Amino acid sequence: MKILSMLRKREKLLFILPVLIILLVFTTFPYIINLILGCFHMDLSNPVGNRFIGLQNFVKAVNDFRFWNSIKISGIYVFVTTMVELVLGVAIAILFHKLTWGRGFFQSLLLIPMVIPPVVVGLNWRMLYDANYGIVNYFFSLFGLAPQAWLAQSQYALMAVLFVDFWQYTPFVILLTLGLLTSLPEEQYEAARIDGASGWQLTWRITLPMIKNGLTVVATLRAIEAFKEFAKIYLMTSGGPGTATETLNYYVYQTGFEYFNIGYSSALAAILFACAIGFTALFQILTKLTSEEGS
Amino acid sequence: MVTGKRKKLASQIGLYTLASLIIIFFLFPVFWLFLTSIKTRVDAFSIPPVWFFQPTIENYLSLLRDEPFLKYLYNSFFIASTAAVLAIIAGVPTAYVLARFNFKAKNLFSFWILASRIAPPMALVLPFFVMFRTVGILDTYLPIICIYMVINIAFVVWIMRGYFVQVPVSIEEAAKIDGCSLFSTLMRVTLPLVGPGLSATIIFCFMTNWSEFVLALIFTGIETRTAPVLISGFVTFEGIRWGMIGAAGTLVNLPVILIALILQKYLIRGLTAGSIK
Repeated sequence: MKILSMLRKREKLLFILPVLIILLVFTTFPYIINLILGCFHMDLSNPVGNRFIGLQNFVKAVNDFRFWNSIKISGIYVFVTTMVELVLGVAIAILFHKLTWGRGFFQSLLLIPMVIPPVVVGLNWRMLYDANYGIVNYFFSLFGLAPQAWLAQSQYALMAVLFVDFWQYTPFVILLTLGLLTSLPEEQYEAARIDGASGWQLTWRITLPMIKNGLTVVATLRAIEAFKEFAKIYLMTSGGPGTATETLNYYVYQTGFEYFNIGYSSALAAILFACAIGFTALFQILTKLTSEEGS
Repeated sequence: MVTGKRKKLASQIGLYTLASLIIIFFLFPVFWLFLTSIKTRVDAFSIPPVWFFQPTIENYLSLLRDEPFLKYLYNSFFIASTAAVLAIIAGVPTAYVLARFNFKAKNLFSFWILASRIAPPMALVLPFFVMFRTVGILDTYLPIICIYMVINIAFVVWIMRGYFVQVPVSIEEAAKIDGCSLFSTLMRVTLPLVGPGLSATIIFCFMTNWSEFVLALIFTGIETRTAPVLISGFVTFEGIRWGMIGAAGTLVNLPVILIALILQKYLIRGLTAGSIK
């Protein structure tokens, strides 16, 4: 009986215990291992020279051209995909919102690109982009444009990869924006219409300000996912040509699993993690701001 | 009056044409993949592309006959569902506590869970590798199931908390007066009320795991490979086997597309994971 009543008191703790243990074992503990590995010179292809080197891997990163390049590519990837998808997505959502019948049908078809497994998306587009047989070049040839090896030329590769992200995740923004639009109250529109406001004015002055907070969250979610992007790059360009599409995420993978430079890869991973935590904090602050303004 | 109506009709036609074009753009690649899967090699590589041709199921037959596709499909299913169920078992009680009670470290705890959702898996891959190698379970299903479970847990906690908050506390009060423990209140009263949400959450976890590629690539061996890893293997040094990619890709797409269409209402909510009301 005593044990039972003790359990009662501690029931809440018991409830969160599984998650607590799992997170400790599978996130916190690995992060600590990661930090420790990051302080070692550890090369699987040449294990003789493994030793503790303190923060030298981090110093190496600061002087590493490829590291800064990968930060730049990651930055471009996150910023461009988020912005373009947001603008396109909101524009298309406003258009779809005007459809009087069949909106549900259009909406459900839009779900398809974003639920497709990334491996299929990557290879599917690699096929479409193919320099010799790809249908993208065929469409371009209809307009008299010369065929290009989209994924093999450094001036086009990043653009081509970004475009696939637009294709896959603009529907995400469209669907969430449609959700925001349908929850808007009618009254303000009525009042504005009586005052003689045009369709454009309604959109700019009423719709956009009212969904602004929701859009902030949508953009943050997109940015977080874009920062994690790996499969599409791995399957379409492998970070190349050269380092044209090499994101930080991809560089961590390469140093660790292709060059077997475990120590340096771990140090880079720690930096990657720090960036992600920065995102998390930003995300929390933003959602807190939106929920406070909303209530 | 008549011109006004005509104008309206014209703008509606314009609107629907534009909307249809947008939809066609978003569906075209998936459709083209399917077409490639039912083309012969000659048709698949013809320029200009052929739209009408004699379809063949040779790619599908070859996939099932010459490749261990079914086995890897089973692996995908087994791994994805086991991880999803484990994540639900572990995550639901936590979601409930976060929805119902305040405690000292609540904010920190939530932040910790959220961080595990936001951090790129790549930051954890090397330590996982070291851990699983030390324990000696790299060739089993365990590593990939554990990893997927961890990824799912953050999602489960976040979304189930949203569902629990919506259940009024007053409904639970009667159960509490009857002396039910927290556990039996949750199991008998609250959980049945959020049943649809719970099922949808399991299915989304399943979908995430079913589609995942990178971690499966690193943490599965020959016996435990999942279908997405097999598909990536059709990119060989001798060339890319588009027909096989088309067939396997279409078969892997099919369940997620069906689930998405059936559960679209829940899916849209799941995508935001409780951050938008």
